[in-house]
Amino acid sequence: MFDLNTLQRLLPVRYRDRMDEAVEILTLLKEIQDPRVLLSLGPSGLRGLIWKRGKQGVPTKVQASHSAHFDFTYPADQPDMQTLYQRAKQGQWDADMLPWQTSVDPENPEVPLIPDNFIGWDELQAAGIRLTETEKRRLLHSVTAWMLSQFLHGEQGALFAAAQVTEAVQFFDGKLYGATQVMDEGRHVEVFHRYLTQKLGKLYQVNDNLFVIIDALMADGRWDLKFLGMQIMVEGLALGAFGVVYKLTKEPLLKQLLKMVIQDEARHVHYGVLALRSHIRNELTEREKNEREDWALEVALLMRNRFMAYEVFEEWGEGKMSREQWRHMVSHAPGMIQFRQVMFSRLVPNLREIGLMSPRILPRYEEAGLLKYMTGLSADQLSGEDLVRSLDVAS
Amino acid sequence: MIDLARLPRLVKDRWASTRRDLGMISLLLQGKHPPPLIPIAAQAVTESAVQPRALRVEQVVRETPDALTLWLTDPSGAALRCLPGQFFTVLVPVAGKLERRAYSASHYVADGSRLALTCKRIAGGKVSSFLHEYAHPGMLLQVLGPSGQFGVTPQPGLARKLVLIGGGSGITPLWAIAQAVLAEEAASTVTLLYGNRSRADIIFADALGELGKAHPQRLVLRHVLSEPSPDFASGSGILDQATITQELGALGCLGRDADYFVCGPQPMMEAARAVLLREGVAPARIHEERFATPQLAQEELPSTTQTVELAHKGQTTLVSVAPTETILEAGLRHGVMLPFSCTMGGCGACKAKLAEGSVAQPEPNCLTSQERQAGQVLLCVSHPRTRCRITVP
Ligand SMILES: Cc1cc2nc3c(=O)[nH]c(=O)nc-3n(C[C@H](O)[C@H](O)[C@H](O)COP(=O)(O)OP(=O)(O)OC[C@H]3O[C@@H](n4cnc5c(N)ncnc54)[C@H](O)[C@@H]3O)c2cc1C
Ligand code: FES
Ligand SMILES: [Fe+2]
Ligand SMILES: [Fe+2]
Repeated sequence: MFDLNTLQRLLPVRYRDRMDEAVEILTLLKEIQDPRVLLSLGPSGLRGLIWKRGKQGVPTKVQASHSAHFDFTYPADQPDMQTLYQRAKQGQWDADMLPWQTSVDPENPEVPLIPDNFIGWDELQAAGIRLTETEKRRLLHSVTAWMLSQFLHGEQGALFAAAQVTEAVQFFDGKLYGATQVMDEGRHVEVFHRYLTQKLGKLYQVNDNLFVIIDALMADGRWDLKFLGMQIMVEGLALGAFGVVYKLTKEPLLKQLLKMVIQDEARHVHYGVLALRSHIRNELTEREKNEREDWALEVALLMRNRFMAYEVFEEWGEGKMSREQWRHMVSHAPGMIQFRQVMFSRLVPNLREIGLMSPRILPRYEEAGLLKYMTGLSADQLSGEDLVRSLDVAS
Repeated sequence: MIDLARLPRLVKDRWASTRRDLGMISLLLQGKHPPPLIPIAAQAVTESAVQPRALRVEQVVRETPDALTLWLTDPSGAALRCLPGQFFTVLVPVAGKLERRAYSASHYVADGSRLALTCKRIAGGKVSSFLHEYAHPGMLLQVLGPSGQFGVTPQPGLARKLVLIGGGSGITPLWAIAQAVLAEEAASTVTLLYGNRSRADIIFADALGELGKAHPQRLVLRHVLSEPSPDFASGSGILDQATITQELGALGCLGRDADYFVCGPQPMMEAARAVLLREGVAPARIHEERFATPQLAQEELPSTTQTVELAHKGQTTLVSVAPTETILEAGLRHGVMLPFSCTMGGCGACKAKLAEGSVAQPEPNCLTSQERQAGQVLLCVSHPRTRCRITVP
């Protein structure tokens, strides 16, 4: 029988890496159990993973199919959202007020952007790669720039999704609140882009998997799926990720920047929980609910298993080690493990809170090792200040 | 209803998008992937009326351990013409400030389809380090120019004798000049005296050798190394007065019938000048290009906004100049169409006469001492210390 592994070993290195990529895509498709989820993620998968629409170097268009929900009676029926709107107005800040004059040397070991253990140095050495101190600093610089680049691309997605959701949602108070979120996301794009281009001097392409997720939820016509995708999944994970970097970085400008962003994001996830909680409990049929539940799990796994900083590998490691070795290194670096853990500790409680963790799906979360986060606090129980404070205490 | 007039555009867009999608698959089949990094367009960090054009890095070629060549094209397809010997100004943001540095066109490209800039890494150098670390194919660089009077205008009918004296990265304009003259002027000859530390530091070593083989009668090549290798033919020593006199003498190049082009480290340039003048070479036949980028220290910058009266084309405009901006920038901001080219004090295009007042300008720059004494200033690097009155030719 034709054996993939043998074939892979016989190929020249660069083909071996591409083959590895192809196998990864196939495994991903095989893992999706719900055919409706496959149908909804499939076209986005084609655009993102195969055609690499996010990396073509030209603007790309995603066709939207939702409808704008107008209401000329201006109902005021969502007091929680009203409160959130008030808080959001008061929480506005000007990105120019951040200490941009801070001079950032991304490769200064005295002021590390992220701790050393974000990279598995031992594994690199085992793969025969010996790095000088300078090369190590440069690699950490690249990995940080890669993470922040993905944050930035995620924020662009959040900006457009927030605008779409503001149109599509039926709560009038939600629309007013949504306007502030659009502003927030614009500011996030501004600060991350500015930091990357002016301080780190490096900007990575959008990760294929992130593109798939953004593409899928931008193109989906169902408002609750957009909410689920953006407000709960992408934002929820981003909130966790920002928190980790906030906690660990020694670079003062980045720390300050993330602190401000985290407080905005906490509101965004809170809004997602408010909007979806009653909708999922009261409006959806069992079948629809199951589909959402499967979708959320697939997206969670996509985010967890596939953010492997391959773009850094392509820039830096290709030819020196295989793509598979790189993946192994990234998934076992202590810093990265912690990173993933904290990301999910924020997400899972929110999925529980909105009702997408029925006994039906629990075994699959268990299998993925995510069940241990079930009991955490959800976003509606945690304000932005609480969040920053808890991170400050932990560090 | 389909709007028929839009149809061709729709089809065209669709087709372009399909081609890009297929391009990605073809990349995959070749075992390749799209570039992992997005070129960072150097944005004007400080608001500036000086509008550079964005050129795309097509290729990065390593020449020596610390020199690399960037091959650039204009994404709009426009030609990148310049005279051999001229330079371009590259603008890069470093730590929030827009730095400008000159790089000579280092290859002669007759049709202007592309442009080569060769940059040597200077330890601790802001822009050269930036380029060495971040330049990659696909990156966009903001570029001004061409500028400068150093170099030649090739004319097929001429039969001239050129003597090029270069050291280290000073080879860049000389290499373009040599290529151009050998290609365009069938009767002209070129002698190149080129000093370096060691064999490994010679930029364009192989290409020079090949050009020599292609024109054995018309190109004479002489390397001088301070650390010579036994297996490489060269003189030994550094290009000081004694060595230059001896080498040029041996090459038969101390006559008064040649044109001299000199570019390299400051001591080498001074030595060459002294030797040539001593041998009776007419000053007009000695052409020099200095690579230094003079800069004002923070404390030399004025601390207050000043008013400058700019007389240009029969009109006088009052311009207020902020401490951080140059008179050129302020003038352009106020709509005075001042002439400029390199914006870094290297070409003289922005020369003007200071009739009253005083300015801070970094030295040395491309002004001669006579020009300086006559009250000439370079608006692109000048900051007013007091209220000034300036006449622009
Ligand atoms: C007309 C002109 C043409 C030029 N053409 C070229 C070219 O083709 N190729 C090229 O590599 N460079 C060329 N240069 C030099 C180039 O513009 C920069 O000055 C050089 O790259 C250093 O810039 P930096 O920002 O890296 O260093 P900076 O940050 O400006 O300087 C850092 C330190 O290095 C010193 N320093 C600056 N330049 C040199 C040098 N050349 N040698 C030793 N020490 C130095 C400075 O005094 C300073 O102390 C040219 C300069 C001019 C004026
Ligand atoms: S513009 Fe070239 S010297 Fe001022
Ligand atoms: Fe955001
Ligand atoms: Fe957000």
